[in-house]
Amino acid sequence: MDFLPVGPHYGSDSDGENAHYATGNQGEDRQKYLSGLEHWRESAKEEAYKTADLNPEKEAAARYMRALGGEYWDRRRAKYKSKVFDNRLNNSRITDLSLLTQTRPTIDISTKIDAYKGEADIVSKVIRSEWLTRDMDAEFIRVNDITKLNGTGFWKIGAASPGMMQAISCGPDSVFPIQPGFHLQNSTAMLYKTWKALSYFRNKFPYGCAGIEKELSDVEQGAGGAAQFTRPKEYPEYTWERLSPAMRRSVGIRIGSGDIGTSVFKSLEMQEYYVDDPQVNESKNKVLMRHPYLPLTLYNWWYWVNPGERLYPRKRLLVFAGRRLMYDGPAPFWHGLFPFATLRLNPVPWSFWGLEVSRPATS
Amino acid sequence: MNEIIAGILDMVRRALNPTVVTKAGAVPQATWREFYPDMPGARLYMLPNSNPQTDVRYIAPPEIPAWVMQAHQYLSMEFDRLAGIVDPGALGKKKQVPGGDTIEQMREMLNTPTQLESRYGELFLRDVGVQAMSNVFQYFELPMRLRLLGKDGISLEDFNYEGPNLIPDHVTREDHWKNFSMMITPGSLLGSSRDREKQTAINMAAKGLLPLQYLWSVLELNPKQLMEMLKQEHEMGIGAKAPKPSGQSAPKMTGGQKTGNV
Repeated sequence: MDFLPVGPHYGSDSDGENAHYATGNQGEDRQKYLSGLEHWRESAKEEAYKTADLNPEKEAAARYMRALGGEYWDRRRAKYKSKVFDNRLNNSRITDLSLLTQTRPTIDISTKIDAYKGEADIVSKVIRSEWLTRDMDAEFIRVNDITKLNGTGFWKIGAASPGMMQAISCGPDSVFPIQPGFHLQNSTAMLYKTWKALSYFRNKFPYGCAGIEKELSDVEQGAGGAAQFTRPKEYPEYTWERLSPAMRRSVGIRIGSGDIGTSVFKSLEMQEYYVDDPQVNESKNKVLMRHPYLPLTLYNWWYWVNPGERLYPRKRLLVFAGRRLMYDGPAPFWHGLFPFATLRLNPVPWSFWGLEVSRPATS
Repeated sequence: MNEIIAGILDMVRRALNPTVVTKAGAVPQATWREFYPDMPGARLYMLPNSNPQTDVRYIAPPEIPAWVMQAHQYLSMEFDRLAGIVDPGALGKKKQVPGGDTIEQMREMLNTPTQLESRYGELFLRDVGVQAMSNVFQYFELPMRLRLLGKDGISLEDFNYEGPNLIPDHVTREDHWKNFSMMITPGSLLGSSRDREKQTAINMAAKGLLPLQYLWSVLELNPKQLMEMLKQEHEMGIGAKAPKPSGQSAPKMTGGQKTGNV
């Protein structure tokens, strides 16, 4: 992974509302910063995809999905031969998942400080309430289902003012640990990748959306290529993504043109990088770490950094829409953890990735 | 297993629609093409030198060795064991019919991996819970807590200078959540553990070893609401009788105590 350039931070003479950009935001300095970020993003992405390739279930998941969908027999099987199929695998999957339908884990939040016991009770009740009202029990079933199929599943855990919790179930195709330890929180960085509509970026990042349609058209062209030609197994995903449409035509596998809609769903690839960035404040003044545009009264995760202290003690967040940088600043969570949790139902000691649970039954 | 079942079905079809063979020169080609052996009243024109008993005959499908079915039986049982499937039909053959919670417990006993999986699930939820705990301190403002919990959602810290929030003024706000710990009771993820907990509570309450209101909370009933309803019923003179306070009636005596012949 390349060197990650120092992100924006703000001078200590600022009152917070009109903070000036301490690292410079114009001309050559800005271009250098963006260029450095581009190099870092490419190398981080490549490393993330290579780590994902180490997942032993990556190629097998498609086979499991076909088996669960009842596509057991080879298409070339003679028509006169029986194609009866007892879908015991799906039956056992449903039986297993149904065990989780009444989960209400006994959650206990406690504190050793008597004065805080009331707060512990409130927090506990809020979590229980959110568990039911946000259908987290159903989401828990979903992440179990994903994990049984892929060996590893994730929750992306979010929250927002004035009081909302969210858990999104993801598979290894959306969440990519970079340089992971056995525990996800030991990683150097995490990449979360998904697709969003243009309106999402316009609403969430109105200050950085000028000309973002260019990214959309690029992606649209790429998606058009993908609709016609799909990646051969021997090509890593990061290599495939870098190929021009012409190269994809020459090396890819042709599939039906009507399989994937290309012009109907205009969307942009959103990448969120959460980075454990060790950089420190090397200046002689304390600096303000904040959202570049929002007033400080609207959020509570801004902070001051003294000289010599870490600029990002609670992780750094970079958001890209396609190749365009949307946000570079502190992560918006006080807990200072990567906002993900990993579920592995069949973990193995030699790999971060777990094995698929149905493997013994399907092999 | 699907290979075996499909193969057997192919054999069944071959048995029901058997192959018919004849030798060259026994039946004219044109007649043979129009001959359907499974058709009622089918007619076959044979040449003079041929013998219908020997020259036209069915070929029997091959016998399936007994060990094929044994292999299938073994695979079925092994799959069910790996998948933790309980056969309620087999349980019904017993003289006693097990209850739903017993079947649930048997399934969990049979399926040891399920217990391991549930433990991994609990570890996962604990990782989530730590972040959720911090997020409540950071993001759940007083109006939302009031909406979710009513007056139970108000804390003294809400009235601080820096409030309304759950964080005291004199602490670093980002680190306050570290004063709390979060635990998920091992085994609580599976439904049967809750059934066992309920059964234990009922038994203890029957022996007078558990407060009634605690029993209700274990049974996931609303103690406050039930208490109110019971009070109303007592006032109206209906429903279950309230237990007599202790010391209001004479203690029971044995025969010896009554006669004095102890």
